[in-house]
Amino acid sequence: MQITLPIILIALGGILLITQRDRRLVLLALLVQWVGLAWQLQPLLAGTPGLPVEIVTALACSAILGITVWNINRAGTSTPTATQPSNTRQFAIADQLWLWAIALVVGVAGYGLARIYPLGGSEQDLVAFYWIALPALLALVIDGSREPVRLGAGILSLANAALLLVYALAATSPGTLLLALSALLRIALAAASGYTWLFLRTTYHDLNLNTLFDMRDGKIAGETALALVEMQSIGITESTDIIETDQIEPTETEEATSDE
Amino acid sequence: MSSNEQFAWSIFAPLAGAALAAILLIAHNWKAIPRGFALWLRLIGLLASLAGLAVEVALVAVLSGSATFDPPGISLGITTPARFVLIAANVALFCAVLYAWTAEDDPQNPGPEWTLILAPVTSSLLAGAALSTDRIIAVLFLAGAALSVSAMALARPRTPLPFNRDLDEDNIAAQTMLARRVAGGLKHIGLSILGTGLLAVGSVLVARYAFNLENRGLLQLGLALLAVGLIVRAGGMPFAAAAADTIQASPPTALAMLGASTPVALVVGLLLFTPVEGSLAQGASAGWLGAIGTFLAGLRSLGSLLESRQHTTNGVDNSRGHGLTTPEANLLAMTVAAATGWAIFGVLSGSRMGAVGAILIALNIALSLPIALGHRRWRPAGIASLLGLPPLGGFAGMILVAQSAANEGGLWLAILLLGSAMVAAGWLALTAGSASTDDLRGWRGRLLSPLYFVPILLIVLQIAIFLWASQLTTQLNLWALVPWLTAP
Repeated sequence: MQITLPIILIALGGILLITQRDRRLVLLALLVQWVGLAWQLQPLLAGTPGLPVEIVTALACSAILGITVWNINRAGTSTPTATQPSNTRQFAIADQLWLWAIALVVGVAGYGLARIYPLGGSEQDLVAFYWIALPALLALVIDGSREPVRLGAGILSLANAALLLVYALAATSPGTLLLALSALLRIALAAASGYTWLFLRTTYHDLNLNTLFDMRDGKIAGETALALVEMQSIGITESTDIIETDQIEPTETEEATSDE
Repeated sequence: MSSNEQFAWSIFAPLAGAALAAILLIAHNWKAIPRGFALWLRLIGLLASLAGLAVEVALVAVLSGSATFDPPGISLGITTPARFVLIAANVALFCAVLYAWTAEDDPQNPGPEWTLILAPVTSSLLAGAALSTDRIIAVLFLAGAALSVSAMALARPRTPLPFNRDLDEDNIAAQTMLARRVAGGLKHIGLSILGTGLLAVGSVLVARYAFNLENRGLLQLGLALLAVGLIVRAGGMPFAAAAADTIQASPPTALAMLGASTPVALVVGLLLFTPVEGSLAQGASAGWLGAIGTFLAGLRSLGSLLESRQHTTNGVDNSRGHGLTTPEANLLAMTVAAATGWAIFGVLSGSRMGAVGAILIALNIALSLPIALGHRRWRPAGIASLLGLPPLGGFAGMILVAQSAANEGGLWLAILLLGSAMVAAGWLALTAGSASTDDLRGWRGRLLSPLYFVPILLIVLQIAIFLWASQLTTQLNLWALVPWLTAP
């Protein structure tokens, strides 16, 4: 199998998608991977308007996602590396080593799967498919449940991988309607992702999905505070207790303090 | 009107209705428009949206043969299952639009304009999926419909609810519901794209290797991908576990739209299999996936039962939105998943009886979910229909699939029945002791509330389907002479 420039771009995009936690770099990885994909699709889409459609789709999706992330970052509170659990140097090195090791294993696995299980089509197309699909799946598994940008990029990348395999295995060149529908679907997907990021940002002041799932699971409840009151006023004689401040009507004789 | 025009308009009529509704809804926001006139514009927008759906139903009912459009390179054809399921799906979308109009004043729901536009768009996409003879295009149309449903689930509420950790309990509850809604929408998008990818790749493999006898392994792989893709896309277990968030928190309109797209996904899945020679592919061996799905749905229902007891013990009533508590939402999700499991068994069984039963179950999902989502009083009828109890519409389909399962040995039939029995037991235990409340006073209030009278009409329709099931089955049997269905 020849290692061509499109395959290198797809591999580079896949590596960045797995290893990078910066949202802007994740989107850059998606764009790099998509350029490689369009290049790889060129012979398969010969004689159809497929290549310009693919390029326009890539640019439109990247623009939608990029502008959304740029606006969210510009708004402030949320940092691009908000999901990094710790800023300690040791943890960052171990984290990066772990991610790069996974990327290496994924690369070897993709190459091996393409050689061992030929589904049809050229081996290069199959390697390209696995090098798009596996990093996308890992992006979803490793961080997709916490980081919506990786979730969106991973889903788009998965859609790209499926379409590459469809184009590679199909007996005939894709028709105009198929090209148009696949492009519209991915642009709609990018728009839905961007809308959801803005929705999360405006509702929860953060892009971290942990807040969302904590809310869903009821882990964030009403404000609970420690209140120090006279025992007799609430009918406790032998012990103090932690109670909801909104259950107490403070009077002049009670000194209540509360802290979050 | 020529055949080509009929096919074209059956897809574009709802889109035209949505476009007209969108223009009217944009116009009604102009400050220059007097208030009284603006209300009329909204009403005309509602009628345009409903008219688009009605025109599609009328056209689908009379369509015959096929049509080719080149460009853009698409062939459309009508089959009996596609005709039936599109009519049922449009009834569900009709209910979605009416429910949206009813819930206009609810600040936690998105404005009705979302539904007036998205329901007809979903209808067009579902029509494209069911009528297209090209498998990949059908799968992409289905994915578009799934995105449309997700957009409805993710739509912003009428009143923004900025997150604040100092909120009081009511606002926390509203925030929790919003979080569930967003989580459900995100999961629905992810699973839809995964299912679409599996269906697309499976379709290509099947098309490539269906007539290549030297490479049977890749044909089997293609069929396996189609089967798994169908389960993911139609929301069978274990992939339906994510649906509880959507069912509890999403607006009823989104759920009615989901109830419209699931049956079409099932029927399109069946149509994807039909050109493959069943005996060649040993397709019948995959039917057990549906039985296991139904069994898992039953197990999850028992889990919901335990959850409900915990809630009762804690004295917490977390009934929100359209009146579904968390255990109820879980149980409803599992009830739909159990019915989907029966239908998947029918599709994958490779028998004509099973396939016809699966189509009838798919129709019934579209017609009974809006009942379950309507007024609380009618919910038991919707649940009973989904469980396949007589004298409602789900009975005939369940009987046919049960016969098909019995022909393959008693084991799968026992597992299917056990799954449904566990779901039914969950509902019985949950509803025992809970009183039905009627918040609508007087006949005028009931007559004017779509949440009340639409379910009644649908229950009448269910009984009609039960009574005329043999005629439906006869028509479907005429279609069922396809290569995939080799067993009687």
